[in-house]
Amino acid sequence: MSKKYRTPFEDIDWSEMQKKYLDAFKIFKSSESVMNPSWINEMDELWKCANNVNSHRSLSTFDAMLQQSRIYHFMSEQFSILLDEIKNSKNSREQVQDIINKNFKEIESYFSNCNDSFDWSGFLTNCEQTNDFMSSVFSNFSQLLDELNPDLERSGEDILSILSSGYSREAQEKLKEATKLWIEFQNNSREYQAAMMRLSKKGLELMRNQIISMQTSDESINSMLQIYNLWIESNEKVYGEYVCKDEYSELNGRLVNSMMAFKKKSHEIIEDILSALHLPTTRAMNELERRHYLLNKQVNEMRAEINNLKKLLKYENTSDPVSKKSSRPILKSKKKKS
Amino acid sequence: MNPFNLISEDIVNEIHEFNEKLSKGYKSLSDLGEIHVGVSEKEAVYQEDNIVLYHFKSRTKNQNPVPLLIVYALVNRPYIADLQEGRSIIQGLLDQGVDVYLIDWGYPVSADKYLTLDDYINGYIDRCVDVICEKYNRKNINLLGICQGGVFSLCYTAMYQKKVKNLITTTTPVDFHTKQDLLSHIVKKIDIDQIVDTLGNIPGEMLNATFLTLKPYTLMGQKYISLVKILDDKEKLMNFMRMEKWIFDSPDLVGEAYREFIKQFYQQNRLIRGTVKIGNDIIDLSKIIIPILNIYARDDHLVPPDASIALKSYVNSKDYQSLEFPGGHIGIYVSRKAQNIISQNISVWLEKHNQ
Repeated sequence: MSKKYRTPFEDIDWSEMQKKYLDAFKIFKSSESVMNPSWINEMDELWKCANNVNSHRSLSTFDAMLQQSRIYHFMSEQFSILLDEIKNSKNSREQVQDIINKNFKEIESYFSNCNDSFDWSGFLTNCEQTNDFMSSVFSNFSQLLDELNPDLERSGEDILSILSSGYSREAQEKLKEATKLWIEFQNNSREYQAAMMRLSKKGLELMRNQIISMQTSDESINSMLQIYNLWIESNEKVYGEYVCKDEYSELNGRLVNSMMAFKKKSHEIIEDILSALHLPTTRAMNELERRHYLLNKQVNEMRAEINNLKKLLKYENTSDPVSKKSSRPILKSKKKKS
Repeated sequence: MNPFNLISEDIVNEIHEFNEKLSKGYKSLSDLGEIHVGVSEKEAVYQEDNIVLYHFKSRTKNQNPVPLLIVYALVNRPYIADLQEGRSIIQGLLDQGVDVYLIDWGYPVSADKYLTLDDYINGYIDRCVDVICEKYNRKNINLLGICQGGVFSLCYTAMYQKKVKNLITTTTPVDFHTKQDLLSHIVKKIDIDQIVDTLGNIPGEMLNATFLTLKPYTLMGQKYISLVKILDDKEKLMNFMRMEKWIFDSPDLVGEAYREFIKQFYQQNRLIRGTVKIGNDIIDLSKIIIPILNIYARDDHLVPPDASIALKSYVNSKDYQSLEFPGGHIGIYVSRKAQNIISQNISVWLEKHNQ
């Protein structure tokens, strides 16, 4: 289920949506809009305003489809320009290569600046919750973040160097520890995103080289979809190779471990607050659940024993010695072996 | 000289067509309504905590006398094996006269977080096997494990071989450290204890995100551009949405079982070393001597073929057979060709081995 839109009316101005719906429809009719990326945005708005409550899955799918369509449209636009330039050139091998190289630089710069391609780290989907938590702990956390960026580490050190004092000293220390862990997670997250961005560039390079190599081979590109698929394959190849390296395992490990370390500390702080208010804590719930689990295990063991005894009793009460011999129960012990 | 066999007008036309389909797709997706999954008639014959043992209704007059229990993975939902009419290996098996049972692990809740692999294998699976054995007055049944369920089936067979007549494993990892195993690279340096101690049960969304990052461009990008092509075909669109529903229908994973599984299998690769510990038992695959049919998918991105093929080297079955399916990890259960290849091969093999 999409976390983004729990209901279709959440954070949506209905009258504004209706207006956009009509505008979007007008744009559909216009042939000029064919290559216009804003068309996709209008489509997006149209979808949001007309979607009904029961189709969360469809909504998420359509979101994903529109997101990719933006990339597809952008690439179409870039390659149309590229093809026009080739058409207007003398079509020499060097010239074609120069045009390809020039246009690929523009594509690379687009991908470096856009947020539309992929949510690189699935684990980072928890970031929003992380941010929410920090906002609840520090009332002006969003502002604090703005202040920390872009010089995150230096500003962070400034905050962390303030001495804790007074009655709530212990709590202040814990918050400082959480902040430290959060900054560490942010650094790892940026490092991860940067690595993915580098891969994206490598993917484009591979794609460009493949296209250039087609100049001397029998292969050729016959459709936009083929260009897009080549982009996907190149990226997937570069990504797959990188994931198999220890460097990636380390990077991913740092990212996930730092996020979990922060979350763990956050839980501790919340536990302290709940405990101070005499409200049930996760620790207490865990203990209850553990006892419930152990009890359940005992019940299962006793049930198995009762079944064994019932079978044995039935067997002992059988008077016919022939059937007694053939129906001797196989009694279950706590552990049976092959 | 020019590698492009097209001009800019061709791209404009292609995009125009793409946009038209996309705009129609908006309506098609809105009109789809409820997405139904699961096709074969079944009845719950045993229930315990969150798990349900289902028995599928026979579709033939003559049935194979030895029932088959399908053990599914703890990840995602088992209806992938019975997705829809004509795309269901369970339906295929029923049509071939196989008497099919399936364990549905359900959706674990917070209170389940202490369940271990011991509880799943020595507990739930063993009790389900007992229920079936008792019903048929048999000493053993056939076992079919799917993916992680295949690993569970192997562990179970190593411990309770007398209760398993024949074992079928499908897309089952055995050697978790093969070169192409991306999942093991992803989890290699992750502090699993910290994750479980922090989160308890592992959110399904988090697992899902991990699976998507195995092939991010294809699974989060290309798939949706390909979808545009079929937006005006209601049947194909419904098939696509069924798969989407299944992919994102991810139950949370029980924390302790996750801890044990990732550490022992993925991080330490202990199954092939004979050092996996389930409860008080050490799993020794070399003890397995019963007939085995090992089915793997040639293009599996989740469980690379080598990870499954390795099984042959670690069991002592004299009657070992493997089958390569020309497709991927999911296609092996839902593609049209799977209906013929997988269901038929399994039923023929079972028929031969049930004498």
